[in-house]
Amino acid sequence: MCPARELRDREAQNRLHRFEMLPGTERDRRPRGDPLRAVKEYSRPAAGKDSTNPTELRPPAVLLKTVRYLIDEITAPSHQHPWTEVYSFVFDRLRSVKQDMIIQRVSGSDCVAILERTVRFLIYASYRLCGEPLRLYDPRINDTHLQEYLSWLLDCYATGSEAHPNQEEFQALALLYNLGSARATQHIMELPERLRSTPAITLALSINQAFLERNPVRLLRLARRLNFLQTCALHRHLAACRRDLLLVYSHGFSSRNCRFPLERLSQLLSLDTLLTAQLCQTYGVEVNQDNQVVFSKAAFSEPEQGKLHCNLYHSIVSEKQKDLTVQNIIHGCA
Amino acid sequence: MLRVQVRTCSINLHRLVLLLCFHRLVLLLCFHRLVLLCFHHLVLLLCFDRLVLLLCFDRLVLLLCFHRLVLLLLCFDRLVLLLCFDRLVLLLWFHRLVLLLWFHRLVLLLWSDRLVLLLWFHRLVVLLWFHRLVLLLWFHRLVLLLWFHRLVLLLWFHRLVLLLWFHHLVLLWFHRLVLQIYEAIDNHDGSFCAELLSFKHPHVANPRLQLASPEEKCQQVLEPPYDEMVAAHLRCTYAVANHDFVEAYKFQTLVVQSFLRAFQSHKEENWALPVMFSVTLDLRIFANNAEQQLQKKAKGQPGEMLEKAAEQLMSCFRVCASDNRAGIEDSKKWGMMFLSNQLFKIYFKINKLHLCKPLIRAIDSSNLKNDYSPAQKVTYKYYVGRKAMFDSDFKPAEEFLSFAFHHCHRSSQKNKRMILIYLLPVKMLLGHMPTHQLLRKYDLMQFADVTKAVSEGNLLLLNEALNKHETFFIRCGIFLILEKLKIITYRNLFKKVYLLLRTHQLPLDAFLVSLKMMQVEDVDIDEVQCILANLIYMGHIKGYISQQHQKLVVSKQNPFPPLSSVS
Repeated sequence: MCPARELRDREAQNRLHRFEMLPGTERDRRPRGDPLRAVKEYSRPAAGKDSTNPTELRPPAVLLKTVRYLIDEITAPSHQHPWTEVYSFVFDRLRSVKQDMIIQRVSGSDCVAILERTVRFLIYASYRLCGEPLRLYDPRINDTHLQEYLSWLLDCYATGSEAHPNQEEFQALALLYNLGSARATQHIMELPERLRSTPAITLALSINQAFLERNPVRLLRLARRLNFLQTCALHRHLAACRRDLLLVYSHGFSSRNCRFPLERLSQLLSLDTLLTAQLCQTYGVEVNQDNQVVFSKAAFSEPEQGKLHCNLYHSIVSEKQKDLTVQNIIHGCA
Repeated sequence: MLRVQVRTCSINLHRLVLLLCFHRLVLLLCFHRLVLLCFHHLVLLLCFDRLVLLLCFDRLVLLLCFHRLVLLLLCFDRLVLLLCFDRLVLLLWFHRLVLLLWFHRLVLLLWSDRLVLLLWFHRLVVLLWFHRLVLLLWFHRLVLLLWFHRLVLLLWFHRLVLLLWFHHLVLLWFHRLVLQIYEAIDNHDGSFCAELLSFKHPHVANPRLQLASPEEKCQQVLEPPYDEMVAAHLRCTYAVANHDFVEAYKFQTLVVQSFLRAFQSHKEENWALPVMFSVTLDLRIFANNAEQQLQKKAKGQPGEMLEKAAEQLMSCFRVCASDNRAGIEDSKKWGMMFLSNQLFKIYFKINKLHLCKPLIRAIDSSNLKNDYSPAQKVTYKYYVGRKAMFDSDFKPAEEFLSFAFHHCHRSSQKNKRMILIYLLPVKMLLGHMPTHQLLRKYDLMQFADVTKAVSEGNLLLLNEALNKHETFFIRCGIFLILEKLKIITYRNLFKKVYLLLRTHQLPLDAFLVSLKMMQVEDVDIDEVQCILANLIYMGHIKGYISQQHQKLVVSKQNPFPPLSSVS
């Protein structure tokens, strides 16, 4: 998984990652690399650097094995190390896998298999690391790369001639991740009828439609039917969705004498009552002592930057995880 | 010439010598005859006469042979005359033979009175006359054959001559075209030059202009960079005639690039604007055709050629936009709108609408924006309206598209229809429904059901109509906008409920029932509340919802404001 020359160089320069060192030599001044665990790292292409040397490139079968190794041996097991470290290691190594694939112009079932796992990993990571400090995890970088992988994967589906069993899953994931985007919706509408009528995509389309119509009640209700990974893809829009609900209700129920029961609201928002109260507070919506919400047009306000902690409200996603292992999630066996 | 003359002289000498020999011989014989006469021997006389005649004949024959030889040496292709001589010679031989036989006959007559022999001789004579006839015919045939071959050779020579003349003509046409272009450039006649360089002009169908390598000829007449431009244009016509649009596109790129170099060097003049219009239009058309050809062969990335064409057009646009020095009359800024329109067409095709923004900004900030020709303005407003629609700015979109629709020329029905396809959804979102008459006039009956459903608040019919014409709407890219009409439909439906119940405190159940009547699945009271809250938020309903009483309380005045006043 790593060219010999690179392993030697990195060993000499002490640039090995913790996960690549020979067990027992981590504390040495010059740790030794484990050839069975070292993975080729990503290096930015530069003028004069020959990235096309065949001895350094990994063929598609090896790339797939590398990806499997990264998921089974690095991502899935629980470490004593924080998951952000795991993420940055796996992210970087997957990037070098992508680079090798581009240089060799890999296409076909190998390419699709690698891309599918990568996409699943990044979607899972976008949920799991939500709320981490910026220096450890940057959601924008994750998003940029995820969009690139997704568009490449959708391209493969569009141009390849063989049938792809997971296509509907990923088309649905793409739409859910890019909820409300006209481009993504138009792309789905242009798929063949047979594909568009599969349950996953139909559900994703209805959720998209509910988002475009600004019907958060329907959206959150439909979102309960999604599986774990799909909810991970959707989760970054949930905050906007809840905000819409509070905004629209602030206008619709805006009356001094009217009250709205908090449990009802928490049911609609798929949160528990405490969290609902907290959310209302963040948006300036008044909750009185009897656990009744007093909606008012004037009272609603946007929270300041950084006040809204998305990861407090992850229950809708986390409850679906239950007994799914990370390995199963990313390999898609769930 | 001298050799021939020497030869002729030598031949003449030989001839003279032989003639003299013969004359001598003849004279000798005459002398002998005279001697014989003295002996009164008639038979011998006749023999001598016969001999004399023979010799005369031989002489004649030899003379003719010599003449023939002379002619051979002097004129090689006078085969006909040769044959005539051969014929004459043979004729004379025959005559000689005949005369010989006649003499023999005469002699025999004189010697004996044998009739049989006479007849035999007559027969022989007739046979020989017959053979003579046959040989004559054969010779005639040979002569005719040779005449025929001569004709064939003549025709072949004529053909060769014609081919050379043809090439000469090709070069003449070519030369003519290049000269015309040179004149047009010299006179700064932009529109004529544009015609000569455009593919709509009939000269491109002229097979005489389809040369594979016209560079040298162009370089002789035109200056750089015009010579490259015209050479590339001619190569392009060649490629188009062979239906190879990828090659045609490459050459047209060269045309545009060399034209741009020339255009940039025109300081404070803009006569070449029509040329720019025609070459850029052809570039875009070839890019389209090349894309289609590549798609059929499943090669290359979709949109690649169009993107490259867009880059070229963008560089032309920059040249036009940065022309600050010239006055209004001579400014190159007059070309900006045409180029923007071409670029819009490409960007809409490759679905990169965000690239339209800088163009729109540039045109908006220019002071010429209302002075362009109506056709260009209509196209511009059409595309800007579509972009605004895509960005969900419906009020400006309606403005632009209405302008385009009203100013579009009455005879361009197809263009009017295209504008209407995008104008209708926008107007419907603002509450103005089209009439049936209008839809029928422009063959847009797909919108009829949608219109009916929205104005009646009939969600069921709306869903059915959208499903039925799904393909058409998706292809035009308006399906998503028509889905937005659902909110308007909800509003109309709920207004009906309000009008039916005639009270200001409407129970939420009534709305739920109305939705269930429209066969909207799995909707419950919470969703009804949400939909109503949304309508209140958007300003379509004036009022509030009371959770405790499960009622919608609407304002006593104008609870459902008209659609055009909202948003």
